Amino acid sequence: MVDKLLYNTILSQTFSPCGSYLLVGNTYGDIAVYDLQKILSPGDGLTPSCRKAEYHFSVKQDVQICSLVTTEKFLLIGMVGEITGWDWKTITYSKNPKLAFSIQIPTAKDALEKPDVNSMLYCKTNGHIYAGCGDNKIYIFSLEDGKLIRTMEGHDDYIHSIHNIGSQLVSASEDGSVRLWDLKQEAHTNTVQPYLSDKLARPELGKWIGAASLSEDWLLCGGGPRLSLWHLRSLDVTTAFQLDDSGIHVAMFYDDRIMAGGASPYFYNLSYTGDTYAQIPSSSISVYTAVFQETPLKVMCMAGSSCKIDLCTNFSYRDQILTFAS
Amino acid sequence: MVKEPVQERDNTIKKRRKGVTSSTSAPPAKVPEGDIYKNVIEFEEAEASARDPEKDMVLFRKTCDDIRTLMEEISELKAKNTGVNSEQVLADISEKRVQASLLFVVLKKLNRLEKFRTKTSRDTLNREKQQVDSYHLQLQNLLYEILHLKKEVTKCLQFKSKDEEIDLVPVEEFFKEAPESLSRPDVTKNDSHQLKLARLEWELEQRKQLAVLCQKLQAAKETVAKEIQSKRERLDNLTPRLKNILEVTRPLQDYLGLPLDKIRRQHQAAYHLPKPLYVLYVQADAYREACDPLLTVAVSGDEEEARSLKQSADDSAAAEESDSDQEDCGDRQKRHHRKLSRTDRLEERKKRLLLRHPLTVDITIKLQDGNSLLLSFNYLVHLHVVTVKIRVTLAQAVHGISAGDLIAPHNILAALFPHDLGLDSPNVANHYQLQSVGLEDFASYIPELGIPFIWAQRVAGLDFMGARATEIMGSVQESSKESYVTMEPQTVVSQASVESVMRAIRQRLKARLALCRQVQALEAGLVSVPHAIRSNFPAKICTSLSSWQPISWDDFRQAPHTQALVQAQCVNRGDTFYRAVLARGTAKLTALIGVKCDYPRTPTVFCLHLNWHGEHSAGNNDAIRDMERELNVHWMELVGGVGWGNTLLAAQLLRLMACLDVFLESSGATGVSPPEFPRDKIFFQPVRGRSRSRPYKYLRVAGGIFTHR
Repeated sequence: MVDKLLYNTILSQTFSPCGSYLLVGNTYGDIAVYDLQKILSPGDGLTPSCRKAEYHFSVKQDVQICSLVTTEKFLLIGMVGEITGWDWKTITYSKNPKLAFSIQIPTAKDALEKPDVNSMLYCKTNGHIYAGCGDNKIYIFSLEDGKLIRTMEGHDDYIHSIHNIGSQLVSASEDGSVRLWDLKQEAHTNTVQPYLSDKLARPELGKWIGAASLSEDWLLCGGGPRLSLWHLRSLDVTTAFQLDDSGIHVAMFYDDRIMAGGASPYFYNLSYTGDTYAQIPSSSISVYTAVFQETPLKVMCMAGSSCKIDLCTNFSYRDQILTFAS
Repeated sequence: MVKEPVQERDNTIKKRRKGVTSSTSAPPAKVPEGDIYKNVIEFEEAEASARDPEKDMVLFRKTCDDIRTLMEEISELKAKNTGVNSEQVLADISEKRVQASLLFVVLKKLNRLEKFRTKTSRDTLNREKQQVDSYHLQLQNLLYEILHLKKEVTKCLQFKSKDEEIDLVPVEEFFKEAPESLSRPDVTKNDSHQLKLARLEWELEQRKQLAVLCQKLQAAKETVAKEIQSKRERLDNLTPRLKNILEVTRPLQDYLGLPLDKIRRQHQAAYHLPKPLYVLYVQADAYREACDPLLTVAVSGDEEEARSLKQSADDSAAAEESDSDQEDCGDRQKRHHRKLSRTDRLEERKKRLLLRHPLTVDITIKLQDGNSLLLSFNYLVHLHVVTVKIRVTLAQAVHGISAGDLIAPHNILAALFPHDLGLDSPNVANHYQLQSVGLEDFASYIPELGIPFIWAQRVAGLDFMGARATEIMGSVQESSKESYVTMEPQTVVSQASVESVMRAIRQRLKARLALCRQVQALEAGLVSVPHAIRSNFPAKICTSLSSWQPISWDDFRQAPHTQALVQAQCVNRGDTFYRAVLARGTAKLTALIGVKCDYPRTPTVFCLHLNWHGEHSAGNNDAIRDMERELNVHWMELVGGVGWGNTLLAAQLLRLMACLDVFLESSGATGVSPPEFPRDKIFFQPVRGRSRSRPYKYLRVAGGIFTHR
């Protein structure tokens, strides 16, 4: 009998507010909780190469966990057709997580399938949740009462990922476009279509954009087309990264560097000009999620289509491998 | 000046002395003469004791001084006596002479007194001494007496009574059981000595009763023994008569066609079976009779040989001993002769070690459809293991290389229970036995001797390794735990496993035949499933099976894409492996297939590799990985209705073909490159979610649509 964990896929991860727990959700609807303090504490003589989860809990059997977001009080789980909130106290203290609330994603009456909540953001300043969904729309909810505040429409296919900085929001979609939104304005402000650029297009992989990220001056995106850095004001391609990948799923800025990963045996640590700082070998066939934190423990966790989670503490080589199995 | 008072005192003493002397001399005058001396002595004694000796000493000194002064005066006077009034002087001198003489009397008196005193004190001393001596003697006597008494006391203390060795019933029980008259609780409750006595008495009573009982029983036993003896004699007398009757009725039996004799002969032959096979025969026959009429159990082989083997086995113990003796003493003489025959002897020993018992137990398991499986159980006399030879008899011949392989005798029962591949002897001792005569591993003799499956040992009641067998047979184990590591066959072990083994074999045979038919069809390029589950698949499948061939375990293991599955131990050596190639247009999908030996209990494992616009496998493409998951994890969705196991492999393959269609059609829909394959399967989105998963899941609604998982 083939263990289904052999085909485990992890789509999202997050840290607890205290920073000492890592939560990982897979497509079977299970969440594994890891104690980072315990895993990363030095001087542990018997360090096994594969660390096990502290415990697991099932959110909904065989409903994939698409995204995870941490707020001060709640863990938000983006699933299919709904966002559920779980009290952090019940997760970190009691190992017996309790559902606190759930927000339903509005669906059209004629829709056959509920939309996936592919990407979620939480804005601390105004208490809003941004959810990029499988029905091509971005929803903004208020965390306080769970009410829908605004819907942003424009994409022709489902949203892969969203990212914001200040009031500026970027969304990457399966339709091949990256759209920039200003939260104060109704319509989107700009659109970028990397698959139209000869430098970036990879027709055999498709036009989809798997990840997009913003910094003050720069826009980073990649997917079927190559990973590329765009200047935000002029919307010109500054750098086209020549990586050995077949699809980008993770792209983000970190401290004057670029972190990127996807269907590739490596997770990349790059400079703005395209130089590779480090190639971190990945246990997954495709990396779908990477999260990092500085305090209280400096760590970056990468996971994807594998039951293993790679941990690196200095962002340049793999320190430990966790396994989803209990 | 100083002399004056002394003189005066002297005078007074003299006077007193005179007084004393006069007083002393006065009374004896009255007493008779003969007693005077005595009286004097008595008086003197009284005086001596009355007077203070200290004072007498002072008196003595004074007297001496007085005498000295008188002497001096006399000498002075004599010196002066030169003429002048010599008369006067002479008078003085005589005067003083008298005085001095008197003083001598005093001295004499004192001396006498002293003598008396000395005597009396000496007497007293002697008396005291005697007293002390007598006391000392008395003391010695007493001490001796004490010692003696102490000895007596210790003797008493060390005394051991016989009753201490007797095991008595506890006090509570005693009070409960003993009659009131014996236990007398009013006395014994307070007096422990009485209690002890009472308990001893009770013990005696009980023992007497038991002795009586024992005698009674012995007598009863004897009578029973006598009865048995007499009955046995009667029975012995009966045997020849019965034989006669049998003899007479044989023609009748033959005439009527009753198999009574045949059964009897079988049973008779069974007595010559070695123990393990006998256990197997009895259990299997019992099982046949009780539960399974399609089973036949028979003994075959040369009975005569078995009898002679048994004879020789009985002698062998004695023979072996004498043999080793001869080897020692006759070594020198025989050395020359030996050199010639050493190889022969070794050959003989090898042969003897591998000796099979001439009798075998043949169990035939028949299926309803006429297919049957013959199991011949052999017993290796010296290796103490049971081996099985298998023959499959089919109602319908099977063609095709790979299909035939599935029901080949060496393969069909492999891993009937997990890990039981029968590759080596379960008796660990065999390895050393074989090595000692220079033979190879047991494995190399399997084709000749039969396969030593662990379940074969267990149905024959042999249990070599408790621990290992537990994991193999799971629940049927409980009862046989006490028969842990024994060479003697145990009926319990056999009882516990016969039923499960027979059932497992029957199921395996069915499953294998079904699998065989599927593989046969697949070899011919047909992928068909029964109508009942056809609805689990889309009506039109464009992919076709272009080739199907068997491969070896090493081929499978060394293929580049199978590493993950091999490492996860999803497949192992005992399974059967195939390579299937599916094709549609330019796309070619190679599936390495591991059919588990306990198929369909554990479903078949697929490992995929697609050759279309590059090489794709589960190791580098998530869509292929999802397709593999669809087959290996979600196979349960293909299962439905009775007998699903018979077509699971074909169903999985059909599913794979449908999935490949979906993959190819959806790939065309997502890429910007022109689609090679038109989209004719129904799905809403070609990809979904951040993982861009393909819609592999098939729903029967609305003429069949594919959705995402």
